[in-house]
Amino acid sequence: MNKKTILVIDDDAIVLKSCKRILESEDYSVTLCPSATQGIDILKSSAFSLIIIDILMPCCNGLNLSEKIEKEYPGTKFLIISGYMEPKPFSEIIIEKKMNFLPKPFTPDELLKAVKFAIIKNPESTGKNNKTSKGDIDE
Amino acid sequence: MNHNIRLYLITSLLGLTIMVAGISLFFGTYQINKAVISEAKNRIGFDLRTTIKIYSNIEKQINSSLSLTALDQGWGDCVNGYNVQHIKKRLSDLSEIIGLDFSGFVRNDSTTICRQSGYNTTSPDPVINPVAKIVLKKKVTISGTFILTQEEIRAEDPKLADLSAINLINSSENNQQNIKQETSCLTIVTAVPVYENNLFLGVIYGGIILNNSTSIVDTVRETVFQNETFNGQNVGTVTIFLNNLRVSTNVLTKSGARAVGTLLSQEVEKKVLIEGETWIDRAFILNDWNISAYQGIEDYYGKTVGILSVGVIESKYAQFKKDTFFVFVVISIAGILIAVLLGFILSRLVLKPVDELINISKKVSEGDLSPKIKKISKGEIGNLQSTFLNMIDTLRVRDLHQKEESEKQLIMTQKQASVGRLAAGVAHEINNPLTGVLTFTYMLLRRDDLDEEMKSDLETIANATNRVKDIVKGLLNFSRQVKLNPEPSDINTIIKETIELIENQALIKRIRINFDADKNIPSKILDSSQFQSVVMNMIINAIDATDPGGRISVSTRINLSTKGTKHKEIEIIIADNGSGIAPEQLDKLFDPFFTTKEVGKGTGLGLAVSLGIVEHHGGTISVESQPGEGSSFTIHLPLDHNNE
Repeated sequence: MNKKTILVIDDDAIVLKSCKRILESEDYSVTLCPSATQGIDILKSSAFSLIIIDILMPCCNGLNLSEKIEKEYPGTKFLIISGYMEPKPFSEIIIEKKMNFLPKPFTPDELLKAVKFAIIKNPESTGKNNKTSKGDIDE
Repeated sequence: MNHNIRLYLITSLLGLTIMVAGISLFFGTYQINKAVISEAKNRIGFDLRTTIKIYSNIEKQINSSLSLTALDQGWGDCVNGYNVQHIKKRLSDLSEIIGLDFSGFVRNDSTTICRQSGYNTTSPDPVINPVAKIVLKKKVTISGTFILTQEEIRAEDPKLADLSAINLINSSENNQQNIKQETSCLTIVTAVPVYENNLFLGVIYGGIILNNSTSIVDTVRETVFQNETFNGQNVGTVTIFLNNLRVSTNVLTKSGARAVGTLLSQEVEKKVLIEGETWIDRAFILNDWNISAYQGIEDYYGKTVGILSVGVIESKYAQFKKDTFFVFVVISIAGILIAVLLGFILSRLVLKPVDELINISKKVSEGDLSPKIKKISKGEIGNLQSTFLNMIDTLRVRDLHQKEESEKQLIMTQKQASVGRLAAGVAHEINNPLTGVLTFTYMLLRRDDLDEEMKSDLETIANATNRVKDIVKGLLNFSRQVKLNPEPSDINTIIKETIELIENQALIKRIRINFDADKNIPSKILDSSQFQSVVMNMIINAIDATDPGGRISVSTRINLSTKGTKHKEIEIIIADNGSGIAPEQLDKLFDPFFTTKEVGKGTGLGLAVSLGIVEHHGGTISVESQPGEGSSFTIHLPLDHNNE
């Protein structure tokens, strides 16, 4: 069985570092990315089992980014993390789209639980061809 | 509305004036008509009597002149010497003075020896004047009105007979008769016996013919009516009738000729000629309406043989009536104009303060409480004005109070908002490093090679970090737009369940909780779990503030809104007899992180979060407190619209 690959996009180094530390302890292959633009570049060459995205980042917000990626690579799985659910529309979008969400700060157990759940859960696929993501094919 | 009052006032006054003017116009005109007619009748009656007097004076004048002439000396010589010329001279002198139409002398042998006209007296004529004939027999003076036949006149003077004949004019078919010419003649005749030395010598007689005569009627008109004219027409007319025939008159026909030969109306004829009454009334004479008076003329034998009549054309009075009516109309119109003017002025006077009040009301309703009433009127309007001023004053005070309240509220809200933003920002920034601390603390704790002391230290770090996590979470809850999950809920039930949850906690502290529920409170749409957390938080606060053995009373009721609107609201009052709150702390009570509790026992966010939740439900929380006596927190919640 292949290692599950996870991409973490967050502008805060301590969060990236924390995620890497926790997830690698459970044998996940973790790629870290400090900005959205770099994240998109990485996605061009590699596919991931899960992408963890922070909402509030200096360049853009994580929700828009996840939408953009979803469009490009349908079936991609996400875990949204945030220290703060405001402004209001974010919380509503998350609830409405039934996105996987984990509030910061989290303990290692909480993150692992959320990641497992997000990977197992079927992606919200709207496309008729329920084919696996590009990442899966590459694997 | 204002215009309506003005219109109403003016219309009322106008209506009243028109009514009064109309009534006075009607009755005034009626009264004046009556007065004018009655005055006209009185006057015409008087004129008739004057005419009769003049008529009888003419008769008397003839009588006295003839009587005086009869007393003259020398009649014997004249008669015996058959000096006809001398008699004729005397007769013509007499005639010249009093204007006789005919006269003559009848000798005691029943012959007429002299006539004024000189007709048929070249020798003694056996034809004798009928009046003289009576005197010849009775030998006393006879004087009066007589009807003489044409033959009898012809005997005096054939020319007279022709002149006095009257051609009938058929003015009315009812009176159409076969006679085409009236030959009888109405005359005034006097015959006086002539004596000398007690010897009866004969009879001197003389008279005037009224047929076709103008002198009497015109004299009378001149005397009585002074030839007054109206619209070029003589106002008064005088007529002498022979029976029902006009024989002498100054009434004119349409062609402008004297209306001799026309007949009297049957109605008047019946009244005057047959019943012998005096008749005074309106009468249509030939062309015009007249006010006329008629009285019969009796002849020497006491028989009514003719009528004397005077008339005044009614149009003269009609004009007078018209003038009077016009004056009345002018007065009425003036009255109406005055009424309108008065109505306008009055309404202005009355409505000016009302207008002012309306304008001020408008300003007040727009929120401007500054207007003052310039002048306080007397009476009811004044009362209204003062009441209104009082109301404005009260409003002003309330407004000021409300302003202070809302300013306080605003400062509070701004404070909370800024604190909220700050908290949110801080929380976000703290959360990332907290993630790191938590991650690495827990990762360290996973290691198997830790000694007990190190493990204990790491657990302390984890616990402390979790506390920080809780505080940040609380802060976020406070600053976050709480997502409500509203549903129709029964507030009393929520409170009851909340009290049940914490009753044990209270009992441990020997504190009793009373709940006095108002059964009339309708269900309200709210987030029951959040609302429960508010009630719970406040009861816990009350328990914490109350010493053992104390009491907490929770009650609900419906009250008028404190916001100054007319709306009603639900009040939930949580009162304790605990330590109370110092006045300087009241302001800070709802500030985040403000707490009177020991460190670690409270985050200082409970009331701030509670207020946030209540405010999201459109309500507010107020506090009253007396240090040492207890505090009372009231949650004010607006009624749902369908319950208002």
